[in-house]
Amino acid sequence: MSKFKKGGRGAAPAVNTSSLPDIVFMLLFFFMVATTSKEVDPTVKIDYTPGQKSRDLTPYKQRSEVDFIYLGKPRNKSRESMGYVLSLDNVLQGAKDDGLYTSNVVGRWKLDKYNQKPPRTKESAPLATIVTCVKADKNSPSGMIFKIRKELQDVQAYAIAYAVKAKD
Amino acid sequence: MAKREIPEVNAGSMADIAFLLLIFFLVTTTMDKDTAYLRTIPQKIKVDKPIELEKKNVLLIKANNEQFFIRGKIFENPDLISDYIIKFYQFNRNRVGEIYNSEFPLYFYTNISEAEADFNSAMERLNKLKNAGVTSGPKYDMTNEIFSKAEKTFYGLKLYGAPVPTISGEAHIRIEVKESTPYSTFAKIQAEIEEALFILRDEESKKLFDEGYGALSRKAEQEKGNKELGYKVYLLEHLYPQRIIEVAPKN
Repeated sequence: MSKFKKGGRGAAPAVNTSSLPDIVFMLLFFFMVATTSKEVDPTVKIDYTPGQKSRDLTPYKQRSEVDFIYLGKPRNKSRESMGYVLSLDNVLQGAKDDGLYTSNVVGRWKLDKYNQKPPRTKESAPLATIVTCVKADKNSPSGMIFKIRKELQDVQAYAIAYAVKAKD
Repeated sequence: MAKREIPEVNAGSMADIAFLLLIFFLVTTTMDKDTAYLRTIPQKIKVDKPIELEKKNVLLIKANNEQFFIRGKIFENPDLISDYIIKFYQFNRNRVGEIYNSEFPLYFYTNISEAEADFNSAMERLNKLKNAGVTSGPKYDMTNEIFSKAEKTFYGLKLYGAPVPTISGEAHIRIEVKESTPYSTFAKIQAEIEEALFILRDEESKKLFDEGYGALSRKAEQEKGNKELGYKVYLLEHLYPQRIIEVAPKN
């Protein structure tokens, strides 16, 4: 005497999927809020150096108070002979014989970028407080970092950040 | 004419659209944060003669392509640089006035009454300007800046509850690297300094406020209007100031 009815071979009941859009939208909003959009894919290859107790730059990014400079070897194989180059908004600035790169290119780039900002941003954040983050390859020469630093000093952009990969 | 019923919109493809958006955001965003060491570049000042510094106040960290040097001696293990920095900051901390000859910077006590006097006079000057009807312009900005600095100093130091041990104003860390030194070496020195200062401030923060320095500074960053938090962070920074000089390399 079986307690359970042996049901007929009916079709499986359809699952109600009407709440699926809600679930997906929830996920979508989560990702929209929790992430920051990617900076440009740099045209130079960068292998970060690890470092502890580094500062998270996300709040600066959200207020768009940070500019990024990339320093590494070009991804493009045909340009490998250029050695370590700067990538300023994906424009490569190569080394020259007389100096590391054409004169004042970092300073001019920084000023240009600042002048393009909306007036309200400029009022709340003067040039001296807008961080310039140098993302350098771990084998790039420190001399170039100091050249960048000097040019920023000349245009009175005094906030600099040295990028590392957070270890903890 | 009879009323026609509005036909229902088919919402079946809504999920597909949402998925599409979701996948777009998944692909274009990064979860890893940008982390870095924030530093301030000093302003250019012209000096005719370089200022003579006492040897004990300078912690010189040098590096070339292979080795680290601290105060002229080869330093084998770069992970121990932070320990040396901690020693540099703490060696004479509890020996105010006892010791005069040392290879580490001396400490003195800052009295709260001085900070209070500075604060009062700064407030007086600011009020004078305000009463005269000046509320903008370079003169007002400068007076206001001096006032807020004095305010921070007074209320910050007051939190300590005793004369505040203060490291010599000249004490600083000096980084000298070669032009060809890899960035990783330069960043390693920065990391060690950051670690040492974090350990020192964290220890002090736990003692004074029962709270870690990391949590405290993060909160202060988020709530910029919260003056109490600002004073706490200011006090910790006053106790262990971050003074770094990065010297342009020569080959």
